[in-house]
Amino acid sequence: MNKMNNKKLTGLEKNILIAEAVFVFGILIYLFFFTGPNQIFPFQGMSIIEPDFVFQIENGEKVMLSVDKEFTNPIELGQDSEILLPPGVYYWKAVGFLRESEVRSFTIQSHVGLNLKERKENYELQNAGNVDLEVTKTNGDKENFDLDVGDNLEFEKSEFKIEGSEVSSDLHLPSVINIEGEQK
Amino acid sequence: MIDIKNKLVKREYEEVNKNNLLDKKSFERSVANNILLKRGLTFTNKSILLLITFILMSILMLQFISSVGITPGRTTLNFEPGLSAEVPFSIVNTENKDMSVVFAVRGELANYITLNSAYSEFSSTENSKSFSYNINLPVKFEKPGLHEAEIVAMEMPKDIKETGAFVGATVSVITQLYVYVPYPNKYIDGDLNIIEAGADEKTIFLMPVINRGKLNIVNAKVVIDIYTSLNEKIITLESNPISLNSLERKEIVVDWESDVNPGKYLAVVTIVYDNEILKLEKEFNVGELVLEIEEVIVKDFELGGIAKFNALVQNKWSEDLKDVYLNILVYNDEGEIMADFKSPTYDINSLTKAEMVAYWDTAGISTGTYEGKLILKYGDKSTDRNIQLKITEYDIEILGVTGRVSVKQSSNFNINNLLVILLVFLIVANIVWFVVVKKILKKKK
Repeated sequence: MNKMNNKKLTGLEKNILIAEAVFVFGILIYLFFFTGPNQIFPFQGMSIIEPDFVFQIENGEKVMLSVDKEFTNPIELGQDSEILLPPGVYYWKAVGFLRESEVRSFTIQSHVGLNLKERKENYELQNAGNVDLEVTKTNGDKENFDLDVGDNLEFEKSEFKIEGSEVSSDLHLPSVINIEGEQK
Repeated sequence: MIDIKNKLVKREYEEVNKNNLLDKKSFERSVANNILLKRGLTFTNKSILLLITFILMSILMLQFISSVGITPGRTTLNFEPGLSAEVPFSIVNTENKDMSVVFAVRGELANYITLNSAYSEFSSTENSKSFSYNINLPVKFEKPGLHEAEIVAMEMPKDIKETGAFVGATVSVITQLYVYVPYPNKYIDGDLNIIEAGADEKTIFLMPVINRGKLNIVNAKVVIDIYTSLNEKIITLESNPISLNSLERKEIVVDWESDVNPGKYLAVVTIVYDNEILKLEKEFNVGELVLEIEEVIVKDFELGGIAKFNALVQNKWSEDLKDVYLNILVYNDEGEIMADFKSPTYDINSLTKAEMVAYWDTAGISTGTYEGKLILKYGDKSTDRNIQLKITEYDIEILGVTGRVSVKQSSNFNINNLLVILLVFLIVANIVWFVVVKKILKKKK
């Protein structure tokens, strides 16, 4: 049937068809090779110590994040999603319509940080890192206490030594994942 | 291109900065006040005032922030006889200030560690600096398991070398070195991480396990018993068995459709491996600790009198909540708090509703629409909701109590979508042309 129709095509129709075919194949090739989801940041294998970073992708709609290469329990992140990631190794890919980017990994390094601020009558100690801390205060006697991420404590002003060290499990993995934004 | 923020512990930095800003502002304000005061005073008074200002400035400038960070917090190695390695770490100048850092090493492995630097100075422009230490482990450790050392970085004033001593509060941060000596048998080390979910969603149990023994483990599986807060077992979950070679690390993942009442639960995890067991347990929540404000009404109100706010609050949690109270804030046109009033505390039983009452003296308040906030405080948590109060002579209407969150969709229209639409249009047009138009033309002929 098609063959019969083709035999009856005029020269103009043929030209239109050829132009259309070139256009259609051109678009298909462009869509296939140049518009796949692409990861920009973080780079492959990168170690991150900054407390704040941004996933950057192009031609994608969302980011899939996982603690394993197989994406057994992935977390989907869309535009403006915010996530709290504890130290560990993470795998991620950009996902677009029907297509995905390759899988890349990055590491969030543990960061032990302490800030001591002088208030009116007290000192305020803040855990400014990204891991829970065991803190030892030495002022004649030794006193140990835990200081979770983001927590702070007040002391009376005096002469003392403060030491902070990581207490989290040695098997670094997300212990708590808080998602602000969307979770599917 | 889309950006997704990783919001870690930025809040603390921001708070510190905010505090600094506040301190700076109060400092500037005090100086400005002093300048204003000085204008109307005699020379003697001026001198006294200047002296007071100088002392105040000195006190304010003494406000000292001690801050230092170190990364990574820990380096973990598996023991190898005679292992030599250089271990890097970085010091982070979190507050970007001039400072010195003094290093020290201590712990069981201290004798096997050589620091490549004992002292370093930072300028305010240096955000972080890299350092390292060398380890030279012995051929054998008698005891299997964990062996540790700590590298201590103590923050000091920048001129510590010149002054030689420092009296006051000091802050140190530690990077740990963990060396694991394999056990001669099979030995699993594991951890339990729970990704909590809302009610009727999946709770995920993530259990990283590592075989710290010299022998391979053929069969390891996880059994999870979940208990309510009343210690009643509600379900037992089981993972598929896995094998684990010596020093190999794997993650076992088990998920659970949490079709239970919101509340606190306990997961008791038993890792069974080749006739040995390891037990872990952790509490977790299903659903949010939620109190919902269903409605807030003010009855029999007259402007200038005492307004009685009746709030109907539902406890959606599977446990009773104690000492719950309502706090209402009302803002004026400048965004300042013009009223802040609270209800007494209430105990609200699980899955029940309670009426909470708060009173507001409206003397001096004018009619109009005011922005406000409803805050429900319970335990160490709180829920808040922005509201509008429409105040007339005989009525207060509260808007926004039953508000819902709306999700803003970003536009997906771009050149690629246009091309796809064009492509689909061309395909459809061609089908119509070939099948329909040709048939019609053929029939006409």
